[in-house]
Amino acid sequence: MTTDTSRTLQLEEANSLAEKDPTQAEQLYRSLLNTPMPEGDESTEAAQREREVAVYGLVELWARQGRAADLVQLSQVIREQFDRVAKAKMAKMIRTLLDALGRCPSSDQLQVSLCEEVVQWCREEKRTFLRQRVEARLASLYLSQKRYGEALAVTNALLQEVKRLDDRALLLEVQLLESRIHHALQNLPRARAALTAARTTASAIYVPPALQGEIDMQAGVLHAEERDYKTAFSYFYEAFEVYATMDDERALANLKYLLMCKLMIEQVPELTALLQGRVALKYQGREVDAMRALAAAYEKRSVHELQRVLDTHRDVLTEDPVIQAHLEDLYGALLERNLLRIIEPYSRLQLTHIAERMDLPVEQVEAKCSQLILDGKLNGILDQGAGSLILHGEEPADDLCSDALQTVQSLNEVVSSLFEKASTLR
Amino acid sequence: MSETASAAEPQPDSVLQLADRLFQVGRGEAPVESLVAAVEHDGALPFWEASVAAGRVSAAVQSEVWETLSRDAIEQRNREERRALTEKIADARLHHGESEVREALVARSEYLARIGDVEQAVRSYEAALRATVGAGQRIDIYLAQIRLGLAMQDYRLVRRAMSLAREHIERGGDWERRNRFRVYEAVFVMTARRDLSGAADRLLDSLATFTATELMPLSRFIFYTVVCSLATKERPLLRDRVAKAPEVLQVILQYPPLATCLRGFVNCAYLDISRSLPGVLMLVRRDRLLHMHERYIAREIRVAAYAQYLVAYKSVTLASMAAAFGVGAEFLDEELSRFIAAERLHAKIDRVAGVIQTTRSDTRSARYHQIIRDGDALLNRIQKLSRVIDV
Repeated sequence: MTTDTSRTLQLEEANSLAEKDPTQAEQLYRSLLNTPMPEGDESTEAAQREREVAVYGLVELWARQGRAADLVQLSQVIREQFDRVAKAKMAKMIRTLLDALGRCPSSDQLQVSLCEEVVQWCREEKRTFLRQRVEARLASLYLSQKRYGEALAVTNALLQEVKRLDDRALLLEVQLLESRIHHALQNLPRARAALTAARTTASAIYVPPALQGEIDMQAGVLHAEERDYKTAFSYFYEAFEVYATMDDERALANLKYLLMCKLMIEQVPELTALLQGRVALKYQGREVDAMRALAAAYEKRSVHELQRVLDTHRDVLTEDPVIQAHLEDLYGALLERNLLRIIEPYSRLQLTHIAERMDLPVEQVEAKCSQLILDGKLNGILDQGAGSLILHGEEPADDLCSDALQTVQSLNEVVSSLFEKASTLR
Repeated sequence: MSETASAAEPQPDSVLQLADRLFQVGRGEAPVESLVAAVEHDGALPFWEASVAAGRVSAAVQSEVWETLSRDAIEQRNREERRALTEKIADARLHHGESEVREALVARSEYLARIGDVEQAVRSYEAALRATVGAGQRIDIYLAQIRLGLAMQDYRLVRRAMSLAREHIERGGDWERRNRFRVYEAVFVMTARRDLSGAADRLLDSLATFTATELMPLSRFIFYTVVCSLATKERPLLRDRVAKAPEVLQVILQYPPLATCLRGFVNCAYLDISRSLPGVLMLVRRDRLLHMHERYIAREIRVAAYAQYLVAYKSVTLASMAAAFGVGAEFLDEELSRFIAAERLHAKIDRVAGVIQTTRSDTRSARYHQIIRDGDALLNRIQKLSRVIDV
């Protein structure tokens, strides 16, 4: 049985070895954890603390090495060893472990199953505090895995509980999460409602800057969905500043979004100014390049350029759901505008001609034309037999006919009511 | 919209659930034991007997149920229950006030409705109505009768209760009951009159205010809304009122073929429509209130899809239209000719050139003809009116 001092020495050694010789450090940590608890109160407390440090050390080590499965096992160990003695500490350890697991690549499914397991265990052991936090994490995992139904179920249950407990910090987190889920489900009214609720909650407590940044970012996203790009821009800018001062990696995403907003309202010169400014210089990289290329393509009004940019910068553009939705609109709007401009002077023209002018396949042109006709944006008709598009002139205002129809309908109603009155007379 | 768990919302009436289960057993999608268990649990012997008498149960299922059903026990329990409830009424009359009497009467009526004894239930409800003063409570009783009628497929009862309910609502029903009634109306016209368009109108109006969970859960309500809209409504309405509605978005993921079909119409993705239609029809087939209209729905959705496609064309090759829908040219030819002959589509097929020509009369002459038609009808009505008034 090792003595106190030897254990402390082991710990120090392990900590220092953590960088250089991870395997050795790991062994040391492990042995520390595996040694049985000594008798006696004083040494117990010290030993306890040492084991804590050992756990954190292991967690950090394995997180860096990406050993997700080991981390999962460790959670079991933590629960067994620390639960009886220091519950709050155990809760903290589990949460740190979960964060660490999050840093391991492709560990999503493991994270989910671990969370589910922990939640179950918490229910059995009646650890409400820990359970709620792990559930919040679980919900956000579901969200990232697109399991919206489950995410919503967990969130709704959590909301009811947390509201009753008046735990505002957690409530804020969950409300923000709820807003994100509804946004993912395209349910804008409820997403907005959840965000407003989050803001109300935030007004009553101290909100750390990072969280404030998240609120602003979500607000920006929702405003952008409603096509209110000006307001969205200001929210993204706020969030960007907050994250930039904290040197947080989320600043980049917000920079991308605020540039996108400028693009959507067609203030390209301002966009270029921003790109050249001090602010963006710090964040050179694929994202900023992509936005610059987009702006250029848009200036040229070239659908092809736009498509090319989307393809080359797929990872930062198309893969990002927020940007992708708006860019699709941009592409569609640009396509439409070009198409209509080409068609404008003609009363009848060949589809192949349009296709050539736009440098697009005939089928795509045809499909787009038929959609425009259906939407009523194009007043014409397709003659596929002749491969042409015929445009109708302005129709003379047909007031006479529609008025006549209206009159007849109103008279019908008058007759109906007269019938009723006649029947009551009898 | 409430975000509370279903504990706070009423569940669909047990007799409605029974009717659904019977339907599922008939289709072989639920085991007969579950039906027997449900009947025994609710004591719903009258429901069972009425269903058998109405010929809604196959011989095989009948024999199996009669074997396992503990008929005498149920009858005994029902008799006792009935006696207890009647005693309670008498007791209330003697020792308590009017509202207790009324409650006891309603309790008995609800019990009789739950076991599916239509005649007795209606009589009991009448007694309860006589003891009821408030308009709201009266309407609730009518709504309960409508539910019973829908479960037992007694449409005479439904019609009668509906007209009485309508009267009271028009005279002074509160908004909540008005909205609920609109949903009931929608379901009735949908299932009994095959008026999917009218049903869709009412269902869409009630989309944001749906609270009638005692009739059906939200998911089923959305299901009916989308199916009826797909069969009868045009793309602009589908795009703006159906596809974008948050209520629909929330639920529609539970019905993947339906989601795909709706999206197909909105995005002009005709291949999606073709591919998802069998799935949609399967869902329709499984629904007690819609399955009888499966063919109609299938036809209407197909016509709507073809019509939507043809709107933009003066002429289009058979080949490219077939490719757009992902079907063979022969099949398309048959389909189109059937619909054209029935005057559902305005087109002509030039089989030799393999081209479809649309023959849409321009708006002006169409309107002109419509004025003549409507004007004629109006003149007839005025003549009838003059005859009526000329006393």
